[in-house]
Amino acid sequence: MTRPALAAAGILLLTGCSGSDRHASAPRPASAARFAALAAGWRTDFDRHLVPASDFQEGGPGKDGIPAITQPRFLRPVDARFLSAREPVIEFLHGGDARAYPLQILVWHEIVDDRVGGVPVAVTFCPLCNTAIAFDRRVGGKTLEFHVSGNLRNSDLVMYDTSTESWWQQFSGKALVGRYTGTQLRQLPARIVSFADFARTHPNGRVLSRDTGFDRPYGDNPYPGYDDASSPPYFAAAHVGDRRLPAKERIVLIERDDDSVAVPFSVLQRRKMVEVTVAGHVLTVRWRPGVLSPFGSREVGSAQVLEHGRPVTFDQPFWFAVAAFRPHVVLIR
Amino acid sequence: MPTCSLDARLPEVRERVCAAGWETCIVVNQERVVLGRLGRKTLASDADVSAEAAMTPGPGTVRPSIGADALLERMRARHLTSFLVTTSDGLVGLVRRGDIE
Repeated sequence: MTRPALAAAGILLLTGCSGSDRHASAPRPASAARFAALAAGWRTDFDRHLVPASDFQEGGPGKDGIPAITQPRFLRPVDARFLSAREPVIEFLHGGDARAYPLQILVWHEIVDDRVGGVPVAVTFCPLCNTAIAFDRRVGGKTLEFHVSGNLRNSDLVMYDTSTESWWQQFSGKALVGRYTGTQLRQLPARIVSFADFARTHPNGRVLSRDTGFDRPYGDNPYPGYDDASSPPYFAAAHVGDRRLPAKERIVLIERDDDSVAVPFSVLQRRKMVEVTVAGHVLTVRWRPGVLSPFGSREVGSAQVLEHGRPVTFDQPFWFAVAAFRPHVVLIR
Repeated sequence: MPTCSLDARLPEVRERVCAAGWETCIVVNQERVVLGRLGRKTLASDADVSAEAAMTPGPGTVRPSIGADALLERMRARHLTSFLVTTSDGLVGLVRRGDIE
Protein backbone atom coordinates (compact mmCIF):
# COMPACT_ATOMS: atom_id res chain seq x y z
CA MET A 1 0.00 0.00 0.00
CA THR A 2 1.39 3.41 -0.91
CA ARG A 3 1.53 6.37 1.41
CA PRO A 4 -1.31 8.16 -0.40
CA ALA A 5 -3.32 4.95 -0.29
CA LEU A 6 -2.70 4.85 3.42
CA ALA A 7 -4.02 8.36 3.64
CA ALA A 8 -7.19 7.37 1.87
CA ALA A 9 -7.61 4.40 4.13
CA GLY A 10 -7.29 6.62 7.17
CA ILE A 11 -4.70 4.44 8.88
CA LEU A 12 -4.29 5.55 12.44
CA LEU A 13 -1.02 6.29 14.12
CA LEU A 14 0.96 3.76 16.04
CA THR A 15 3.48 4.36 18.75
CA GLY A 16 6.73 2.70 19.61
CA CYS A 17 9.69 4.50 18.03
CA SER A 18 12.45 5.67 20.28
CA GLY A 19 13.09 9.36 20.12
CA SER A 20 16.24 11.37 19.62
CA ASP A 21 19.35 9.77 18.13
CA ARG A 22 21.44 12.63 19.44
CA HIS A 23 22.65 10.76 22.50
CA ALA A 24 22.25 7.25 21.15
CA SER A 25 24.58 4.62 22.46
CA ALA A 26 27.50 3.08 20.61
CA PRO A 27 26.87 0.41 17.94
CA ARG A 28 25.47 -2.84 19.41
CA PRO A 29 26.45 -5.77 17.16
CA ALA A 30 24.62 -8.26 19.37
CA SER A 31 21.25 -6.92 18.30
CA ALA A 32 22.10 -7.03 14.57
CA ALA A 33 19.99 -10.15 14.18
CA ARG A 34 16.91 -8.04 14.79
CA PHE A 35 17.57 -6.32 11.48
CA ALA A 36 17.20 -9.61 9.60
CA ALA A 37 13.56 -8.94 8.86
CA LEU A 38 14.49 -5.65 7.19
CA ALA A 39 17.63 -6.88 5.43
CA ALA A 40 16.22 -8.43 2.24
CA GLY A 41 17.45 -6.52 -0.79
CA TRP A 42 20.00 -4.55 1.18
CA ARG A 43 23.81 -4.77 1.35
CA THR A 44 23.88 -2.58 4.44
CA ASP A 45 26.25 -3.48 7.29
CA PHE A 46 23.52 -4.13 9.85
CA ASP A 47 26.09 -4.97 12.53
CA ARG A 48 26.55 -1.24 12.96
CA HIS A 49 23.58 0.73 14.21
CA LEU A 50 22.70 3.43 16.70
CA VAL A 51 19.03 2.62 17.16
CA PRO A 52 17.08 -0.65 17.35
CA ALA A 53 15.52 -2.28 14.31
CA SER A 54 12.11 -1.81 15.89
CA ASP A 55 12.47 1.94 15.32
CA PHE A 56 12.02 1.49 11.57
CA GLN A 57 8.74 1.03 9.78
CA GLU A 58 8.08 0.38 6.11
CA GLY A 59 6.41 3.37 4.50
CA GLY A 60 4.76 1.45 1.68
CA PRO A 61 6.51 2.06 -1.65
CA GLY A 62 9.69 0.14 -0.72
CA LYS A 63 13.33 0.81 -1.60
CA ASP A 64 13.48 3.40 -4.42
CA GLY A 65 9.70 3.14 -4.82
CA ILE A 66 9.90 6.88 -4.38
CA PRO A 67 12.68 7.64 -6.86
CA ALA A 68 15.25 10.30 -6.02
CA ILE A 69 16.05 12.75 -8.81
CA THR A 70 19.71 12.26 -9.63
CA GLN A 71 19.93 14.10 -12.95
CA PRO A 72 17.89 17.26 -12.37
CA ARG A 73 17.10 19.70 -15.18
CA PHE A 74 16.40 23.36 -14.55
CA LEU A 75 14.50 26.27 -16.04
CA ARG A 76 14.72 30.01 -15.72
CA PRO A 77 11.85 31.29 -13.54
CA VAL A 78 10.23 32.87 -16.60
CA ASP A 79 9.85 29.41 -18.16
CA ALA A 80 8.51 27.73 -15.00
CA ARG A 81 4.92 28.52 -15.91
CA PHE A 82 3.63 25.38 -14.24
CA LEU A 83 4.07 27.15 -10.90
CA SER A 84 1.59 29.63 -9.48
CA ALA A 85 2.85 32.68 -7.59
CA ARG A 86 2.20 31.36 -4.06
CA GLU A 87 3.34 27.79 -4.63
CA PRO A 88 5.99 26.62 -2.16
CA VAL A 89 9.54 25.97 -3.34
CA ILE A 90 12.67 25.15 -1.41
CA GLU A 91 15.08 28.03 -1.93
CA PHE A 92 18.74 27.05 -1.82
CA LEU A 93 21.52 29.54 -2.40
CA HIS A 94 25.19 28.63 -2.63
CA GLY A 95 28.27 30.05 -4.32
CA GLY A 96 26.29 32.63 -6.25
CA ASP A 97 23.91 29.97 -7.57
CA ALA A 98 20.20 30.29 -6.65
CA ARG A 99 17.92 27.30 -7.07
CA ALA A 100 14.27 26.56 -6.40
CA TYR A 101 12.90 23.06 -5.88
CA PRO A 102 9.10 23.06 -6.19
CA LEU A 103 7.39 20.99 -3.51
CA GLN A 104 4.84 19.82 -6.14
CA ILE A 105 7.80 17.83 -7.56
CA LEU A 106 9.52 16.99 -4.27
CA VAL A 107 6.41 15.32 -2.82
CA TRP A 108 6.90 12.63 -5.50
CA HIS A 109 10.68 12.25 -5.15
CA GLU A 110 11.73 13.54 -1.69
CA ILE A 111 15.43 13.80 -2.65
CA VAL A 112 17.23 15.74 -5.38
CA ASP A 113 20.94 14.94 -5.70
CA ASP A 114 22.33 18.10 -7.23
CA ARG A 115 25.46 20.18 -7.55
CA VAL A 116 25.05 23.85 -6.67
CA GLY A 117 27.80 26.45 -6.76
CA GLY A 118 30.26 23.61 -7.25
CA VAL A 119 29.12 21.76 -4.12
CA PRO A 120 27.34 18.37 -4.27
CA VAL A 121 24.14 18.72 -2.27
CA ALA A 122 21.05 16.70 -1.46
CA VAL A 123 17.92 18.82 -1.26
CA THR A 124 15.36 16.80 0.66
CA PHE A 125 11.71 17.05 1.62
CA CYS A 126 9.80 14.64 3.80
CA PRO A 127 6.08 15.29 3.20
CA LEU A 128 5.12 13.31 6.28
CA CYS A 129 7.12 15.60 8.62
CA ASN A 130 7.19 18.73 6.43
CA THR A 131 10.98 18.79 6.78
CA ALA A 132 12.84 20.61 3.99
CA ILE A 133 16.57 20.18 4.54
CA ALA A 134 19.66 20.58 2.34
CA PHE A 135 22.81 18.59 3.02
CA ASP A 136 26.38 18.67 1.73
CA ARG A 137 26.84 15.20 0.16
CA ARG A 138 30.56 15.04 0.87
CA VAL A 139 31.65 12.64 3.60
CA GLY A 140 35.27 11.85 4.36
CA GLY A 141 36.49 12.85 0.90
CA LYS A 142 33.74 10.93 -0.91
CA THR A 143 30.66 12.32 -2.62
CA LEU A 144 27.59 10.27 -1.78
CA GLU A 145 24.36 9.90 -3.71
CA PHE A 146 21.23 9.64 -1.61
CA HIS A 147 18.08 7.69 -2.40
CA VAL A 148 14.81 6.93 -0.59
CA SER A 149 14.99 3.75 1.51
CA GLY A 150 11.23 3.29 1.79
CA ASN A 151 11.62 3.08 5.55
CA LEU A 152 10.53 5.63 8.11
CA ARG A 153 11.57 6.41 11.64
CA ASN A 154 9.28 8.62 13.69
CA SER A 155 7.37 9.03 10.41
CA ASP A 156 10.44 10.74 8.92
CA LEU A 157 12.24 9.88 5.68
CA VAL A 158 15.13 7.45 6.04
CA MET A 159 17.60 8.02 3.20
CA TYR A 160 20.32 5.66 2.08
CA ASP A 161 23.58 6.29 0.28
CA THR A 162 24.23 4.20 -2.82
CA SER A 163 27.88 3.64 -1.87
CA THR A 164 27.43 1.68 1.37
CA GLU A 165 23.64 1.59 1.69
CA SER A 166 23.90 3.07 5.15
CA TRP A 167 20.60 4.45 6.45
CA TRP A 168 20.47 8.15 7.23
CA GLN A 169 17.78 10.01 9.19
CA GLN A 170 16.65 13.02 7.20
CA PHE A 171 15.56 14.97 10.29
CA SER A 172 19.03 14.94 11.82
CA GLY A 173 21.31 14.13 8.86
CA LYS A 174 22.90 11.36 10.89
CA ALA A 175 23.63 7.82 9.72
CA LEU A 176 21.85 5.38 12.03
CA VAL A 177 22.63 2.03 10.39
CA GLY A 178 25.50 0.73 8.26
CA ARG A 179 29.11 1.55 7.62
CA TYR A 180 28.60 5.29 8.13
CA THR A 181 26.81 4.83 11.47
CA GLY A 182 27.32 7.93 13.62
CA THR A 183 28.45 10.11 10.71
CA GLN A 184 26.78 13.49 10.54
CA LEU A 185 25.99 15.25 7.27
CA ARG A 186 26.55 18.99 7.17
CA GLN A 187 23.26 20.84 6.92
CA LEU A 188 23.15 23.88 4.66
CA PRO A 189 20.71 26.81 4.89
CA ALA A 190 17.54 26.26 2.88
CA ARG A 191 13.98 27.44 3.37
CA ILE A 192 10.52 27.25 1.90
CA VAL A 193 9.43 30.40 0.07
CA SER A 194 6.82 31.23 -2.55
CA PHE A 195 7.75 30.82 -6.20
CA ALA A 196 6.94 34.52 -6.72
CA ASP A 197 9.41 35.55 -4.01
CA PHE A 198 12.10 33.35 -5.51
CA ALA A 199 11.50 34.63 -9.05
CA ARG A 200 11.50 38.25 -7.91
CA THR A 201 14.69 37.90 -5.88
CA HIS A 202 16.51 35.62 -8.33
CA PRO A 203 15.24 36.31 -11.87
CA ASN A 204 18.28 34.50 -13.26
CA GLY A 205 18.02 31.65 -10.78
CA ARG A 206 17.18 28.08 -11.73
CA VAL A 207 13.96 26.20 -11.03
CA LEU A 208 13.79 22.41 -10.99
CA SER A 209 11.79 21.33 -14.04
CA ARG A 210 9.22 18.59 -14.43
CA ASP A 211 11.64 16.90 -16.83
CA THR A 212 12.85 14.62 -14.07
CA GLY A 213 13.43 11.39 -15.95
CA PHE A 214 10.24 9.99 -14.41
CA ASP A 215 6.52 9.95 -15.04
CA ARG A 216 4.57 11.41 -12.16
CA PRO A 217 1.37 13.50 -12.02
CA TYR A 218 3.12 16.67 -10.89
CA GLY A 219 0.63 19.18 -9.59
CA ASP A 220 -1.59 16.47 -8.12
CA ASN A 221 -1.44 16.26 -4.35
CA PRO A 222 -0.82 12.72 -3.06
CA TYR A 223 -1.45 13.80 0.55
CA PRO A 224 -4.72 15.80 0.48
CA GLY A 225 -5.53 17.34 3.82
CA TYR A 226 -2.49 15.81 5.47
CA ASP A 227 -1.52 19.02 7.24
CA ASP A 228 -4.80 19.47 9.08
CA ALA A 229 -3.20 20.74 12.29
CA SER A 230 -4.92 18.43 14.72
CA SER A 231 -4.79 15.25 12.62
CA PRO A 232 -2.32 12.57 13.71
CA PRO A 233 0.63 11.40 11.60
CA TYR A 234 0.01 8.31 9.45
CA PHE A 235 2.93 6.39 10.90
CA ALA A 236 4.52 5.67 14.25
CA ALA A 237 6.26 8.45 16.15
CA ALA A 238 7.64 8.71 19.66
CA HIS A 239 5.86 10.97 22.15
CA VAL A 240 2.92 11.23 19.78
CA GLY A 241 0.70 11.97 22.76
CA ASP A 242 2.54 15.24 23.43
CA ARG A 243 -0.26 17.79 23.71
CA ARG A 244 1.75 20.98 24.02
CA LEU A 245 0.72 21.81 20.44
CA PRO A 246 -1.47 20.23 17.74
CA ALA A 247 0.39 17.38 16.03
CA LYS A 248 0.80 19.18 12.73
CA GLU A 249 1.33 22.73 13.84
CA ARG A 250 4.24 24.07 11.78
CA ILE A 251 7.32 24.90 13.82
CA VAL A 252 10.50 26.85 13.20
CA LEU A 253 13.11 24.59 14.75
CA ILE A 254 16.56 26.03 15.38
CA GLU A 255 19.42 23.88 16.64
CA ARG A 256 22.87 24.89 17.78
CA ASP A 257 25.20 22.51 19.57
CA ASP A 258 22.89 20.69 22.00
CA ASP A 259 20.29 23.46 22.21
CA SER A 260 16.96 23.33 20.38
CA VAL A 261 14.37 26.09 20.25
CA ALA A 262 10.95 25.80 18.63
CA VAL A 263 8.84 28.74 17.52
CA PRO A 264 5.31 27.81 16.38
CA PHE A 265 4.06 29.38 13.18
CA SER A 266 0.94 30.46 15.10
CA VAL A 267 3.17 32.62 17.32
CA LEU A 268 5.01 34.02 14.29
CA GLN A 269 1.80 34.80 12.46
CA ARG A 270 0.75 36.88 15.44
CA ARG A 271 4.07 38.57 16.21
CA LYS A 272 5.71 38.54 12.74
CA MET A 273 9.17 38.64 14.35
CA VAL A 274 10.60 36.84 17.37
CA GLU A 275 14.06 37.05 18.88
CA VAL A 276 15.47 33.86 20.42
CA THR A 277 18.75 32.85 21.99
CA VAL A 278 20.12 29.44 21.02
CA ALA A 279 23.40 28.23 22.52
CA GLY A 280 24.30 31.86 23.23
CA HIS A 281 23.51 33.07 19.71
CA VAL A 282 20.88 35.77 19.36
CA LEU A 283 18.75 34.98 16.32
CA THR A 284 15.85 36.73 14.63
CA VAL A 285 12.96 34.65 13.36
CA ARG A 286 10.74 36.34 10.77
CA TRP A 287 7.48 35.28 9.17
CA ARG A 288 5.68 36.63 6.12
CA PRO A 289 2.49 35.59 4.34
CA GLY A 290 2.16 34.57 0.70
CA VAL A 291 3.06 30.87 0.66
CA LEU A 292 0.59 28.00 0.26
CA SER A 293 0.73 24.60 1.89
CA PRO A 294 2.07 21.84 -0.39
CA PHE A 295 -0.89 19.74 0.77
CA GLY A 296 -3.66 22.08 -0.36
CA SER A 297 -4.52 25.67 -1.04
CA ARG A 298 -4.22 26.88 2.55
CA GLU A 299 -2.03 29.89 3.29
CA VAL A 300 0.79 29.00 5.69
CA GLY A 301 3.42 31.68 5.05
CA SER A 302 7.17 31.31 5.24
CA ALA A 303 9.85 31.78 7.87
CA GLN A 304 13.43 32.92 7.89
CA VAL A 305 16.06 32.83 10.63
CA LEU A 306 18.86 35.40 10.65
CA GLU A 307 21.95 36.04 12.74
CA HIS A 308 23.39 39.51 12.24
CA GLY A 309 21.33 39.68 9.06
CA ARG A 310 22.74 36.46 7.61
CA PRO A 311 20.56 33.39 7.04
CA VAL A 312 21.26 30.40 9.26
CA THR A 313 20.11 26.80 9.11
CA PHE A 314 16.73 25.89 10.52
CA ASP A 315 13.85 23.61 9.68
CA GLN A 316 10.07 23.93 9.75
CA PRO A 317 8.69 20.50 10.66
CA PHE A 318 5.36 19.55 12.09
CA TRP A 319 5.18 19.58 15.88
CA PHE A 320 4.85 15.80 16.23
CA ALA A 321 8.29 15.36 14.60
CA VAL A 322 9.86 17.87 16.98
CA ALA A 323 8.23 16.13 19.93
CA ALA A 324 9.56 12.80 18.67
CA PHE A 325 13.13 13.80 17.90
CA ARG A 326 13.65 16.72 20.30
CA PRO A 327 11.28 16.14 23.22
CA HIS A 328 13.20 18.56 25.46
CA VAL A 329 13.04 21.45 23.00
CA VAL A 330 12.50 24.94 24.41
CA LEU A 331 9.09 25.99 23.13
CA ILE A 332 8.48 29.70 22.58
CA ARG A 333 4.87 30.70 23.23
CA MET B 1 11.13 14.93 -33.56
CA PRO B 2 9.33 18.25 -33.95
CA THR B 3 9.60 20.82 -31.19
CA CYS B 4 8.18 24.26 -30.60
CA SER B 5 8.32 27.02 -28.04
CA LEU B 6 5.67 27.96 -25.47
CA ASP B 7 4.66 30.96 -27.52
CA ALA B 8 4.29 29.18 -30.87
CA ARG B 9 0.80 29.32 -32.40
CA LEU B 10 -0.99 26.04 -32.86
CA PRO B 11 -1.85 26.48 -36.59
CA GLU B 12 1.80 27.12 -37.46
CA VAL B 13 2.90 24.15 -35.36
CA ARG B 14 0.25 21.89 -36.90
CA GLU B 15 1.38 22.73 -40.44
CA ARG B 16 5.03 22.13 -39.67
CA VAL B 17 4.44 18.88 -37.76
CA CYS B 18 2.18 17.43 -40.45
CA ALA B 19 4.66 18.37 -43.18
CA ALA B 20 7.34 16.47 -41.31
CA GLY B 21 5.13 13.38 -41.09
CA TRP B 22 4.65 13.46 -37.29
CA GLU B 23 1.54 13.51 -35.14
CA THR B 24 2.92 15.03 -31.99
CA CYS B 25 5.13 17.96 -31.06
CA ILE B 26 7.19 18.55 -27.94
CA VAL B 27 7.20 21.97 -26.31
CA VAL B 28 10.67 22.98 -25.11
CA ASN B 29 12.43 26.10 -23.91
CA GLN B 30 15.58 27.59 -25.45
CA GLU B 31 17.72 25.03 -23.64
CA ARG B 32 15.53 22.22 -24.97
CA VAL B 33 14.16 21.32 -21.54
CA VAL B 34 10.85 19.56 -22.07
CA LEU B 35 7.86 21.61 -20.91
CA GLY B 36 4.90 19.90 -22.50
CA ARG B 37 3.50 17.82 -25.31
CA LEU B 38 1.03 18.54 -28.12
CA GLY B 39 -0.69 15.28 -28.91
CA ARG B 40 -2.53 14.11 -32.02
CA LYS B 41 -5.97 15.30 -30.87
CA THR B 42 -4.67 18.71 -29.86
CA LEU B 43 -2.90 19.22 -33.16
CA ALA B 44 -6.01 18.13 -35.05
CA SER B 45 -8.13 20.88 -33.52
CA ASP B 46 -8.79 24.18 -35.28
CA ALA B 47 -7.97 26.28 -32.24
CA ASP B 48 -5.70 29.26 -32.78
CA VAL B 49 -4.02 29.30 -29.39
CA SER B 50 -0.48 29.21 -28.08
CA ALA B 51 1.36 25.96 -27.52
CA GLU B 52 1.39 26.81 -23.82
CA ALA B 53 -2.39 26.98 -23.70
CA ALA B 54 -2.87 23.76 -25.66
CA MET B 55 -0.12 21.49 -24.34
CA THR B 56 -0.28 18.72 -21.80
CA PRO B 57 2.35 19.91 -19.30
CA GLY B 58 5.11 17.81 -17.81
CA PRO B 59 5.10 14.63 -19.90
CA GLY B 60 7.05 11.71 -18.48
CA THR B 61 10.69 11.46 -19.49
CA VAL B 62 13.51 8.97 -19.14
CA ARG B 63 17.28 9.33 -19.15
CA PRO B 64 19.34 7.29 -21.63
CA SER B 65 20.93 5.40 -18.74
CA ILE B 66 17.71 3.54 -17.96
CA GLY B 67 17.87 -0.15 -18.94
CA ALA B 68 15.54 -1.58 -21.56
CA ASP B 69 13.88 -3.90 -19.05
CA ALA B 70 13.19 -1.11 -16.60
CA LEU B 71 11.87 1.07 -19.38
CA LEU B 72 9.55 -1.64 -20.66
CA GLU B 73 8.27 -2.23 -17.14
CA ARG B 74 7.59 1.47 -16.75
CA MET B 75 5.74 1.61 -20.09
CA ARG B 76 3.63 -1.43 -19.27
CA ALA B 77 2.79 -0.16 -15.80
CA ARG B 78 1.53 3.11 -17.20
CA HIS B 79 0.08 1.76 -20.45
CA LEU B 80 2.35 4.01 -22.50
CA THR B 81 3.69 3.32 -25.97
CA SER B 82 6.57 5.78 -25.92
CA PHE B 83 8.76 7.92 -23.68
CA LEU B 84 10.74 11.07 -24.34
CA VAL B 85 14.46 10.69 -23.77
CA THR B 86 16.23 13.64 -22.19
CA THR B 87 19.76 14.41 -21.01
CA SER B 88 21.55 17.39 -19.54
CA ASP B 89 21.54 18.72 -23.12
CA GLY B 90 17.76 18.57 -23.29
CA LEU B 91 15.44 16.50 -25.46
CA VAL B 92 17.38 13.94 -27.49
CA GLY B 93 14.67 11.66 -28.85
CA LEU B 94 11.72 9.36 -28.46
CA VAL B 95 11.84 5.67 -27.60
CA ARG B 96 8.89 3.54 -28.73
CA ARG B 97 7.71 0.42 -26.98
CA GLY B 98 7.81 -1.51 -30.24
CA ASP B 99 11.48 -0.68 -30.66
CA ILE B 100 12.51 -2.38 -27.44
CA GLU B 101 10.00 -5.24 -27.14
